[in-house]
Amino acid sequence: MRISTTQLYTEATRNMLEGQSKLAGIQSKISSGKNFTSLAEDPVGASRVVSLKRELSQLDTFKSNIDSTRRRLSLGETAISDITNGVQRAEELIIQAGNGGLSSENRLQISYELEEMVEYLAGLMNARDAKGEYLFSGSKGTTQTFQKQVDGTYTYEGDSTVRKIQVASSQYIESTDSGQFLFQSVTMPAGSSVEGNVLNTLVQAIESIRNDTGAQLGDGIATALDRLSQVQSRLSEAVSTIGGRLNILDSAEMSNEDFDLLTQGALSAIEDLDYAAASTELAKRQLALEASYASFAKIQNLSLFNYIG
Amino acid sequence: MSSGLLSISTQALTANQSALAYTGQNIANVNTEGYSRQRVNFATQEPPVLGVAVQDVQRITDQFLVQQVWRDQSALSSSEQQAKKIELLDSLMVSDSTNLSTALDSYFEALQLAVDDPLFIANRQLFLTEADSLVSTFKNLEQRLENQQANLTTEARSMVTSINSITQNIAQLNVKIGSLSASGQNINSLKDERDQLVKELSKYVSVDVISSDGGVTASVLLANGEPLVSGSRAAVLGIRDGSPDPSQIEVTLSRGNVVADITSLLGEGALGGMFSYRDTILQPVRSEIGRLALVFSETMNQLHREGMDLNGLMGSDLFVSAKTGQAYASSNNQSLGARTSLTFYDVTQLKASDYEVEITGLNTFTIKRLSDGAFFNSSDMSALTPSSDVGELGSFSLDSSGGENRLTVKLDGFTFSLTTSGAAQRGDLFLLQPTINGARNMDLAITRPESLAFASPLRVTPEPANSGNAEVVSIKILDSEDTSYLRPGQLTEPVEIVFNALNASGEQTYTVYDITDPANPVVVPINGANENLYTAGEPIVIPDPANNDLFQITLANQPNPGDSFLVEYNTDGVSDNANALAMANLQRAETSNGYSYQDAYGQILAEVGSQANAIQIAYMANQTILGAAEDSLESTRGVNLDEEATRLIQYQQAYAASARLITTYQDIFDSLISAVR
Repeated sequence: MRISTTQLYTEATRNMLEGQSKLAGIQSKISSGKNFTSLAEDPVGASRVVSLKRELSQLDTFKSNIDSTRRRLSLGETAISDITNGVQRAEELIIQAGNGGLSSENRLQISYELEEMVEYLAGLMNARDAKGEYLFSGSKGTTQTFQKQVDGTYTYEGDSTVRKIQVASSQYIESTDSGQFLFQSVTMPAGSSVEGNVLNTLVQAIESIRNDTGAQLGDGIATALDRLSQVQSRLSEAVSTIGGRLNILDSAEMSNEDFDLLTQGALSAIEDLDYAAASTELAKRQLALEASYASFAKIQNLSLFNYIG
Repeated sequence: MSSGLLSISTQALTANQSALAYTGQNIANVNTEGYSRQRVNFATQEPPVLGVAVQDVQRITDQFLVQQVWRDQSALSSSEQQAKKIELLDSLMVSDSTNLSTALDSYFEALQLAVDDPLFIANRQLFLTEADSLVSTFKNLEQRLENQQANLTTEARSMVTSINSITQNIAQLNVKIGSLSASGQNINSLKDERDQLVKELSKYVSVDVISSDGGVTASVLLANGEPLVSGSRAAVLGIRDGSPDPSQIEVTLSRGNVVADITSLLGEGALGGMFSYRDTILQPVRSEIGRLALVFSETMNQLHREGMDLNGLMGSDLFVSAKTGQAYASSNNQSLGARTSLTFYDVTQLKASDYEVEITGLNTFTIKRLSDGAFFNSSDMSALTPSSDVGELGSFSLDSSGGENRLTVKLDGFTFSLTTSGAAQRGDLFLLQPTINGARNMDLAITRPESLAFASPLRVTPEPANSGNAEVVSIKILDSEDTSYLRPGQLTEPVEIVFNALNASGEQTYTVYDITDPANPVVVPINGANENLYTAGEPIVIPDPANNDLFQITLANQPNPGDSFLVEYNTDGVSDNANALAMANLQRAETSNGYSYQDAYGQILAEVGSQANAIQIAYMANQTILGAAEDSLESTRGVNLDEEATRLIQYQQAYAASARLITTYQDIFDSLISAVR
């Protein structure tokens, strides 16, 4: 085939430009460390990256959710265990007060100590977190959990709402317990206007220890002990559900971490450059470009004009 | 006879000199683009005269290959233009500053912090900041896309200017070639020049060249036959605002007083490629981004309106979102007093497409969805009534009152209405762009962190004496448009759900009581029944007295007869996170045609990516194709220096030999003279 002189040059230019642009392409991949630097290079990969990054961002969120839920549950657990100890001490005092050998003076002493215990327990049940939110008021976080009435009894001012937190893609954990569940655990006789909780149980016991004697006192103490055991069984139920939730948090955290690793791996497989393959490619393209330089250098020397004249 | 020798040698000298001159011309133009080598053709004189003459100077080219190069050039310029534009779009969408998905991640991360601790003001403030930055990301992205569209206009103007000057030059060359050709002069290089101009022109539009007089005059036509240059006259192209959508410019062609829109006739070339990029890539991407903004704002707003804020008030819209789309009437429309509106009845059903509405007769019309070409005919649409569901095919109603006709069409989530005085005229066209403004008109509506409605407005309290283990799973507001029954601080209709004694079949039923007056509970019938069957996990729907569903409570597990649940306004429920949690759950919800927000965005990226990929492949293929055509053409018409060197020697030797004829003649003549002397 006939070839025009300019074709030799345009062909050589075309080859060299193409070689250079391919070299630049692989060079930019190597310097960025990314498998693709534009959507066009891997359209499906680009959309997968969006959803994988969302997964990672959510896993991060779940991790911080788990941490804060753990803190909140531990805070509740500590308060509940203090309350449990307090209730045990009160139980001992009440049993002591039922001892027939005590003088009314002695019983008065005990009643004072029980009064202190009521204040102490009320303080614990009205616990607030570092930001001042009442721990056990349900959704009414700015409302003091238990309010003392003029007659000395306490009423629960919160509600039964608990807070749910997402800790895995389809797992929600209750991060709070309502005072309704924790403390309003005493069954009161029908028609009683006093709410059934530990504080009112103690208030009524103090009343009985101070004023009653004989069989009446015995009844008062027996009722109080029965109610305290209801209180304690609810508290220990709460402690074990909190423990269960903490366990769930641990396993959710572990499976989230596994999932995080998998996702990172999948993301890296799409996004990150395979350096070994890339450097082979680089060498190949370099060789091709050098070959086109060399062949051009040889061809451009050939001309009939070099031989005539 | 001897004087014949002198004449032969003179002729040969002249002819070979001329051949040498054109060899020189070829060598001189070895690097001239578009140059066709020329060859001097010799012929013997008519017998009995002896001698040689230059028969013609041939321009060696192949007009079919030339035309082929023009076509391939148009195809290449079109794909080059599209590849460059989409590369910009590509890099714009991968860059982090406009990465919507990252902004959405940050938004939901901040929301989850508020879910953890809804009472903490700093969390609320952070969420507002992230929401604001998400809005900015939407707006920035749309702004950049809009800028790209504006740049297209500027570029189209400059291309049209170039086209006009090229066609003007071609028309002038036609005149020049005609007159030189008439006087028998060499017009070869002018033809090269004209072919080169046509090649320049084919970079902008697809052209055909025809000639009725053997290549003296070239008429240049657009691919569909519209003449750009005929003889000495060149048509003038221009740019004007589009119709119906003024922002979508169109290309016009003027001949005399006639101005025609030729945008769809441009074929390939950079100008054609630019419009095809605008119509098939840029505009759809803008519609998609707009739709995503609309769906996101509206679905968030809907939930936010169902929540209660820190002040105990019902939530308002979290985002300002476009309430209307764009509807344009064609400037040729004949209907009198036409007014249009485009609103939404369900943003989640919106499609990222423009629609063309055409009135096809008295009370009939068609709608074309431009993204996929789907046709909707009024004869297939159901009648639109307030209670009717809009089907796949759309619904419409026509009514006239007070001398006005009103057409209302519902389709794909939008409502288009057209009001005209008298009937709408056949042939009238309207362009609908439901989602194009979605991102541009988006804004943050709430600025005070206290106004974020993260709590549920309802509180459901199990009676302390309940002995069953039924518990509340979820509370859902059913009508987020009208929450007026949820007055701050009170529910206009507080209710109690009471579980009755097992019925005759041993099944658990419940009755709902209105306890506005606690001492005097009134039964609220549900679907006309006072007692309804309880199924764990099935929602209990509470209606108002007019039987509109207000909200629903879902319980799990089994209650015992006598158990009851009190439903009241969530007064002081500042620590409740139920609504924030519901909002956070939207991150993975399939809100947008079966995709979550971010998956929908991923789809847009994949779409842009694969289009960019296809265009790049076409661009590279077209480079190769044009290269091959140019190679064939060059191998025919291009100068080869070795060939010219050979010819140089060939003609030089013939010239020397011819000169030798003269000396031979002189020798003969001298011999003759001396013999005679």
